[in-house]
Amino acid sequence: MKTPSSGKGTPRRYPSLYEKTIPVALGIIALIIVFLAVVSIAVALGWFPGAY
Amino acid sequence: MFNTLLPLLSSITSFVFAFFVLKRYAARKGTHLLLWGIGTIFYGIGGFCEFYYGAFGWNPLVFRLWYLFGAVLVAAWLGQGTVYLLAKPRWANALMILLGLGSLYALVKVFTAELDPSLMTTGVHTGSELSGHAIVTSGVRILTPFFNLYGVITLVGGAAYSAYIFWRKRILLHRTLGNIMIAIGATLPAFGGFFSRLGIPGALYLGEFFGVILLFLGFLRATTPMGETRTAETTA
Repeated sequence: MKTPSSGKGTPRRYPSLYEKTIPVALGIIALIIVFLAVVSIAVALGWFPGAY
Repeated sequence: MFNTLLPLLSSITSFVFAFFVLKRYAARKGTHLLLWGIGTIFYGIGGFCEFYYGAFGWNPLVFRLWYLFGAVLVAAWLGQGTVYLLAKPRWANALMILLGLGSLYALVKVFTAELDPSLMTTGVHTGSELSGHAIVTSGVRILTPFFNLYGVITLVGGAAYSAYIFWRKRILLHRTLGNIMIAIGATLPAFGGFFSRLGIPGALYLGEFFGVILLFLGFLRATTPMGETRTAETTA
């Protein structure tokens, strides 16, 4: 993030714990979405047994 | 006990959750809140039907209600709420019409399907949990992955997208965290179903239970500001 000149538009940040963990969580969720989408498509195509 | 208590707790939690959502809808309006409220009621109906089956055994009406609301519709309707939150009204309305028509079609298919409860013990399933294997008529179970796929993309994807937008701007931390919890909570029933296919007992009900807990907590987190948040750190 570009740092503006002093006194104005100071970059916003979350507390450091969240700065580290939120991107990781979002990345994991993105992978989960892809995985579940693939499973749904596989079930729809009959490649994978459906529980429902 | 496991197959009665767990879905009963899921059902009760869902209905309590629905109360909070619809209360917020009554105060603030917003179609997204109405649809989330409806979706959580569907979640509760599904859980109650699972409890009923565990406690009292097979009932075709209960099975049909469980399949329609719990297996087919719940994720898609919750996701449609998120569509109304994030998308332009024209797109949201168009998708709502499609979802409505699809839901009516599913209703007819599920309530006219031939059922055989003995088929719930095929393969890796013990018959202790409800399963779509009881549906004999073709063209019914194929509906579920389409509705669930829509739910994954809209509900999980929408919550993750919302969290990303708040994070990127470093604003409203409570909404970032709440949406992450909602996204993860929404995936747990899907994982429960996945592991259930692999023959892991109780996976489905556990996924549903922890899923609704996390969804509820995420909703509460997202709607409750965290007090003063640090919005800036000065650089040296």
